[in-house]
Amino acid sequence: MSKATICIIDDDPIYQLVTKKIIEKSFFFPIVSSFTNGLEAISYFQQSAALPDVILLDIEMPVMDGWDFLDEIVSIRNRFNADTSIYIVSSSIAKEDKEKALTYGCIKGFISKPVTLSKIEKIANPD
Amino acid sequence: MSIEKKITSLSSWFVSRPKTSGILVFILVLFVLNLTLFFRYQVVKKNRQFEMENLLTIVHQNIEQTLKNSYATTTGMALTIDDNGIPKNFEEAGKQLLSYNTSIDAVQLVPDGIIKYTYPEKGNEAAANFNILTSPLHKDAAMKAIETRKMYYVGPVELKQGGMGIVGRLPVFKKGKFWGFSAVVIRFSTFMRAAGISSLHDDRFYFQLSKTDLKTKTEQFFLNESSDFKDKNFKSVSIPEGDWKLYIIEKSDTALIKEFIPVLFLTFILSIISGMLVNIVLRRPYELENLVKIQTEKIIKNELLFKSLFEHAGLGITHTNSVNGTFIDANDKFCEQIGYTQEEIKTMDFMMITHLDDLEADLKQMERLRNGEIDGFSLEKRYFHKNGSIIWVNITVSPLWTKNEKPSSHMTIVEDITKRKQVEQDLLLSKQNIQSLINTVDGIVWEGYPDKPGVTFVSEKSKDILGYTAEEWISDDNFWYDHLYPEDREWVTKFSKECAEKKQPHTWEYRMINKAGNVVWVRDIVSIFIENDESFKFRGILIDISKTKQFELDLNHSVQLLTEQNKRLLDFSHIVSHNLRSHTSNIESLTNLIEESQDENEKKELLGLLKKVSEALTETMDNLNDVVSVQTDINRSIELLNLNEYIRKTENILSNQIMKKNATILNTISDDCNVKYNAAYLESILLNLISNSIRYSHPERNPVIELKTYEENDYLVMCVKDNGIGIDLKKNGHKLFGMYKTFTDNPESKGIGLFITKNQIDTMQGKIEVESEPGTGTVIKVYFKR
Repeated sequence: MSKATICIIDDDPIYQLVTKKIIEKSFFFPIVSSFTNGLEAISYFQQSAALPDVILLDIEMPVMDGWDFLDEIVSIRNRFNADTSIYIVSSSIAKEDKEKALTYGCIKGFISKPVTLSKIEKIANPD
Repeated sequence: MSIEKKITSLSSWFVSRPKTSGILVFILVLFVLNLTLFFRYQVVKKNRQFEMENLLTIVHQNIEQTLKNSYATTTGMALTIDDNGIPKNFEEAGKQLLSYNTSIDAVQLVPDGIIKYTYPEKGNEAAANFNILTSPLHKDAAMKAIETRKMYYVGPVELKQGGMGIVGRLPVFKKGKFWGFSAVVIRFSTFMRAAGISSLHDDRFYFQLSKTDLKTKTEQFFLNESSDFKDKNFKSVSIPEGDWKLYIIEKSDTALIKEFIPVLFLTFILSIISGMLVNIVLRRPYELENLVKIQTEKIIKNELLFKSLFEHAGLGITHTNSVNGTFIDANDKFCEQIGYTQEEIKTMDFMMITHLDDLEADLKQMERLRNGEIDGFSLEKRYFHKNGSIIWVNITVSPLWTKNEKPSSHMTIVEDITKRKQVEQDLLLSKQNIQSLINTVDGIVWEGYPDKPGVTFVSEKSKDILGYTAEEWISDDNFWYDHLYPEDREWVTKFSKECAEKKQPHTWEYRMINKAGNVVWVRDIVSIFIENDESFKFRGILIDISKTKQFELDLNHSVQLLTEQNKRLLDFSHIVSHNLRSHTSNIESLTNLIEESQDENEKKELLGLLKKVSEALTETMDNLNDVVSVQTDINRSIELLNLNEYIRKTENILSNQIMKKNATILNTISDDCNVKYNAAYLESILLNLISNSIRYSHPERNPVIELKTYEENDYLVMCVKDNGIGIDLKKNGHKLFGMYKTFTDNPESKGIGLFITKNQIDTMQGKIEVESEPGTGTVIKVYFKR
């Protein structure tokens, strides 16, 4: 089953806009949503019926950063019984952040900015 | 040798051996007394034998008398028999004869061996008509009498008429033909009485009577006394008329000896007493003689010893007249010491050879000796050798007169100490050298015992390094501890104790306080000097390393600063790369989109976005520039700034926001509070902190910002307290001062202010601390280095 929904969580509005456009152009994900920080996203997911198939997550964000978001999503993920793939997206990822991220089962990979069409394609068809 | 001499030598032999003499006297006395006793014993023994013989003779004679009487009686009785063999007037004759002989109990006439006539009849009825020639008891005796034609006695036998008795039978022949017997019956008791055995009874002797049996030839004893006396002393006599044997026997053969035993014992005691007396009498002179001998030997030995000591001693000895000081005698060693011969010395006095500088002291001591104030004295002085050289000596003077006598002469023992004096001189010189050497060492040389307070030595360098003289230090047991830098005292004393326990040499550095009250860094190089198994000393050199230490501290500080700066630069480069990359990646994405876009409107929109990115990039570059300027601004000008003046300046800048948010600033900082700081930094810091307090105010209350200062150690602390939204320090504390770290969705949050503030404070060697509670407020403390 191909993935349909993708969610961008990043405090950089330009990045949000640009990435959204690239995803829309790729046609891999018909539904794209975006949030400027973790708290916004969690609040939304708590009230929504389902989780997106893919989440592109930034770590450094105000209000609720990527780590806190991961902790929160782990607790609500069971409720949906969903198979959400989360990708950490950053311009540079420190080694210790990578090691920390791997302790979360839902993390599927790391993507360095900028997000390109080919990167989206890989996310859509990981095999 | 004359007799007199022999006697003298013999007597001296005895005198010198009191014990042997005693034993000899004992033996001699014992021998003489026992010899006397022996002779006495022999005499007594002979008398005893004589007495026994006498007694035996008496009894024998008595028996002989009885037998004679019996013979006379039987003969008388036989005469009564007429030719026809018939006795005439038997009873009358019997009566008459018995009345003469009381030792006979009855008379009998026994014709043909049959007892026909008996007087008295009474009591002898049983014997009437008894045929003796058929009686086995009497037959043999009767036949012997007939054969021998002599009177023969039978018995003692059991009489027919009863009881024991002796029967004497005289054979009577008529016309050459045996008629019968004329017999006498003597009862045994009567026989004994007549013999006198009963009356001669003695404690010492007893009698025994025996008869040899005619048939068996064996000897039969009749008296109750013992018949076994062959081993005893006895005498005997035979009586053929009845084949009897009479014995006298001494009851005990040891009786006589027993009589002599007490006397023997007495002689023994007497001998012992004599021996002991001689021993006691002779011992006293013997002991005296011995004592004299021992004393004499001692005196001889002492004399020899003294002579040998005097002549061969390794020390010089003189015998000197105590009144005028002339030498009476001197030994070879003394002659050798001062170079004069014995003869020369005897013409001199001690004053002649004594060094003038020492003479007065010597004479003074001699005066005291003569006056009895002292018992002797020792003195170190100088003599002149014959060759003119000076020799150092130690003399020991002992007087040779007793307390109550007039001073006469004295002995002087002279020890040559020239070499020792030389060594002492050298040692003193060497000590002075060492002392001056120690004082030139560029450090305080010290010495002390680990188990005793204080030090035993401190070199003069103490004055230069600590400002205290060596005497000041040595006289105060607690000097070292009291002058340790207070912060170092605990570990320094602890470490010193540990090293003392392990006897471990050590080199360490600590701080002391000098007389002026300043800190002096010292390096203490301590070695262990073992005196014996149990005790040891610490010896150390305290070197002033204050300058080196200051260099070291400065260096450490510089290294620390550099390390911090390096870290900050690293962080900064990471931040720069991260932030720039965010923008460049956006630019890359946007340009790609623009290139690919066919829609003009979209292109316009994308170009708009590109412009925004460009602006953001510029802003980031500006921020980075701000940061770099803080990091690299080495030649910051530092001046004394009035804190309130800058606070007011900040309030002016922020007046718009203050008014908008209706904020109140409560400033309790006094107007004279100044800090040495860079003006731009102070302005930036105040602006950042106060604007943050206003920006992050709580939506439900008007912001109130309190400003105050206080002193803490080397810092002036400025507190900026607000009642804003606060920060969750548990969650975000670690990134509070990070670049581009924001925690709220406030659009004005850029994550740059506190980052710069922190950098500015760090470069001014201060620090910044935060206390906060979400929902309540935040307190930020800025530490200005004094």
